[in-house]
Amino acid sequence: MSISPLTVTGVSQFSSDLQSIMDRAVKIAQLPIQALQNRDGDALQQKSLLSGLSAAVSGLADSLESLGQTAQNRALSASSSDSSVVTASSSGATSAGVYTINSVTSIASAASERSSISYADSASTPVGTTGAFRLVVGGDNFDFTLANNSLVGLRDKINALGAGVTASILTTGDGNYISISANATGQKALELRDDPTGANTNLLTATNQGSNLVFHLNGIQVTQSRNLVNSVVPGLTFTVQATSNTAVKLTLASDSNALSSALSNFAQGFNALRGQLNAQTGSAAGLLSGNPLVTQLSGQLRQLASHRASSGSIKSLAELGITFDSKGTMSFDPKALNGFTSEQLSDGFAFLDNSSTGLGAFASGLRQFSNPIGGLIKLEQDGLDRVDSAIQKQLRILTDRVTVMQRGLALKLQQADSLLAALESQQSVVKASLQGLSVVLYGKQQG
Amino acid sequence: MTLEEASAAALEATRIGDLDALAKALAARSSALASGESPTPGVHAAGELTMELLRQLIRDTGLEVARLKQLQMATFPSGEPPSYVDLAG
Repeated sequence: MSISPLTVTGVSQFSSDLQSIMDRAVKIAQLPIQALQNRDGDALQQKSLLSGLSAAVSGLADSLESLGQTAQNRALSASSSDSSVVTASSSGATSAGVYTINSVTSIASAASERSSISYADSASTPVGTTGAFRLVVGGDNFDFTLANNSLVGLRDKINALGAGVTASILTTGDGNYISISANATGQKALELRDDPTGANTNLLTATNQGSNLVFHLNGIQVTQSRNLVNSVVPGLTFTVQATSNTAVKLTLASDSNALSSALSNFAQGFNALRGQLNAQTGSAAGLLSGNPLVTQLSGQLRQLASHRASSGSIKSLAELGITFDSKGTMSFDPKALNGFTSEQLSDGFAFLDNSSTGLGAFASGLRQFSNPIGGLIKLEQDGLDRVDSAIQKQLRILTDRVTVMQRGLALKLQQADSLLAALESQQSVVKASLQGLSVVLYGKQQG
Repeated sequence: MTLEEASAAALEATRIGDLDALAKALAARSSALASGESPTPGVHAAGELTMELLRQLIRDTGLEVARLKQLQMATFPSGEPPSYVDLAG
């Protein structure tokens, strides 16, 4: 912020010099205030840098957790030998395996029926004999009485029952029908009883009562109401798409591509933080230079980079294709995983997993820095907020004081300048008088 | 008050920064001159010294005002605060 010069208009001969004095004073006096403002600006910039640092730490922790989880699950992915019959996915599987679906006898479908007869007018033709009905959905009965004994009244009433079915009106050339469909798949009887305590007549067809999924897995028959199966094989979820008499193989196997992808993300996260820390060290360091958090996080990265396993065929990141340049930047070569034996892959997973000895365990240490509630970086930012508030408060107090003091001093300045002008005038008179006296006494002017 | 006494009083008032006392002393000095009292070299020297001290007082006050002006500017980033240093009033 530049300081505009003061304009001084005095009446004494000295007042012209006052302008330059004031201008110099403003420049000199600007220094401590500028320092105060710089300190405030630095605090805000440090806070911003810490936000970036926190995001980078959090990103690295995320990638480490993901890597650890991938390793924990042994990078297992699921596949199906015939995805037109069954599709499969891993849902946290921890062990490899092959499963056979010998056959799919039936797939699950939702029950759906309509009224046996049609009704001329959906809004006015009576549906029931008394207006009393019983809706049967599987083993559940729902009794109700219609105030509006018509298809419209019946549809609205059924949809308001919460019975797990949806009613609608089908309009054809033959008239109007009520259609009732189950909201979920599975074998389920649907009936609509007219006058249930009297004639008790079922008004619905009985042509589509829904069906269950029926299949054989490794020779064992499994029956369930949904086509999504996630409770038979731990960590394996599959969806049956069609019936089949041909066996379908479901395979859970380690996928090195998943491991490569997780390691690549980890390297990116590592380098993002490394770059931020490098920017705060050395001769061109930023405002976080010397900050203990930078030192501590650099230490975390060193530990991470030098992590070693005490046993197994994979003991370091280098053996997984990870190298570092002179600036500590990480590179990952996916080709290093090619040709890994199952033992090497297994040891690699153990090296990377989330156990206390695995690389993934470093994530929790990093979270202590990046936790947005009480993390070390947040605490540092809170401290900087307090510095900012204190400086702003200091400036406000100074402003109030300055306003009062400036008024008094300006009046004093004005008075002094007026008195100086008066004294200058007197001295001219005194000097002239003394010079006149010298001429009289000595015949010439003195000094 | 004689011219010498008034000059001495003006000098003393300026030394201690009492501008009200200086105003009174200068008024007395002006009256003494107007009454025809002849000045002496000592009266002239006292007047010169008083002027020098007064200039110094103005410099010091100017510096203080400038410092305050700067402080005020630092806390009014959006605009110029009112100035209290226009000596012409």
